[in-house]
Amino acid sequence: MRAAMGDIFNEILAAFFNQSRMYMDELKVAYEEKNYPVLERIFHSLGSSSLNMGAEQLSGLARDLEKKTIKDVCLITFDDIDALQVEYFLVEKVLNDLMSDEKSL
Amino acid sequence: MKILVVDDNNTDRLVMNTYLLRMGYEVVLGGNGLQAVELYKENQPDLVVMDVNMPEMNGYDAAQKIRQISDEWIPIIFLSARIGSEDIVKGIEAGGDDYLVKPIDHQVLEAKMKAMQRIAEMRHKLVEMAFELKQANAELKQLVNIDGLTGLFNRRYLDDFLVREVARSKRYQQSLTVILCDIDYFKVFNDTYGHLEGDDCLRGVSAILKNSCRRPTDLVARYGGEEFAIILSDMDSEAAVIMAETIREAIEAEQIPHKKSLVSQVVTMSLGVCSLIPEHGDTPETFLQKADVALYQAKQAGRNQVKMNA
Repeated sequence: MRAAMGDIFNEILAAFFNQSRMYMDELKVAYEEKNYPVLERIFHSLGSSSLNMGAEQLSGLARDLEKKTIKDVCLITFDDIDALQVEYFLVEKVLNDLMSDEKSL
Repeated sequence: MKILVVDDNNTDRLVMNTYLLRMGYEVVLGGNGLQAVELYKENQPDLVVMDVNMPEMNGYDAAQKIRQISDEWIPIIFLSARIGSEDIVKGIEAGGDDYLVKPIDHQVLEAKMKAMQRIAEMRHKLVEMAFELKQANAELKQLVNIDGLTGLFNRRYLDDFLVREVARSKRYQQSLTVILCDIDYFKVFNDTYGHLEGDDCLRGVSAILKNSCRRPTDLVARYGGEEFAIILSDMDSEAAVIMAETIREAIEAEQIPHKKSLVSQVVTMSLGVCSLIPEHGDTPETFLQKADVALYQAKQAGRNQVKMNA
């Protein structure tokens, strides 16, 4: 996608980071409040947008959690959310490093 | 081509927007199903690309709404990360035409846009052709009912119209008037001035008749040759005679020269009026025959006058 997007890729990356960080903030609150529809939406959205960035592992994780969260039933634990957040910040670091490397070249 | 892109996911929306703009399309962006319906109404896009899973209103419901409010078919493509057979069935039933798998592959997107554009263009052509055909049919239908020389309704239309009016007047027990009119010594007119002048005379008389009968329900038709028929619904005999007399005066006042006429130096007209509330046995022929008898009486009495046969 980097090649197809050209200059606008940075903008898309920034949008992805902004949105995902917002999700990270909302995740634990939604889980504690048992707001499963919000949780489901975050997992769904993150699963989709992370694929655009090539973050397949993060996407897969989000999709698995989405399947376990349906309306008033939630089969995930706090550890699952932690794992997702760790994976996201890893993706963010890798993408930032890649962009920095590209700039320095 | 204008494309409405609807996705609650900012990143996905931005990616799609970028791809489509680079392909040269005009893009309108929305964030949920409700916005999709509103933006569709405001922008009338040529194509809708819409996520399925969205807050407020999902893509399926939005597609159904768009189909309900839209007279014209436009392609709707659903975006989804999950595409199973159940999703496809649901999408098609909701009014969708195709699916795109997330994340979007820009080559697949470009190919699908081209295909949809092709279908949309064919659809536009079909709609245009259907419209032209409808117009042509309407014109043809009118031509079938119109007398080519005078622009008045012809005998065929008159007959159909009279059947309906007699039935209607019977049902509501309203008075119906039929006036038959004949230009006096028209054969002599043609012999004197030639057929081209004769045609002009017929056109002039037709215009006067048309101007005299201004109610939307009035009908003036060319009955044949130099004879005309006027049908006036819901008009009693007294008013009908006044109307016929007004027409006769208007024809005379036009002062179309007719030097060999035996009643005047100008074109005149004889009129026979039949005005009655139709009863069980009365038919359109009843009216025409009675009006014809009255017209005969007007001619026998010296022409350029109105006679009534109630």
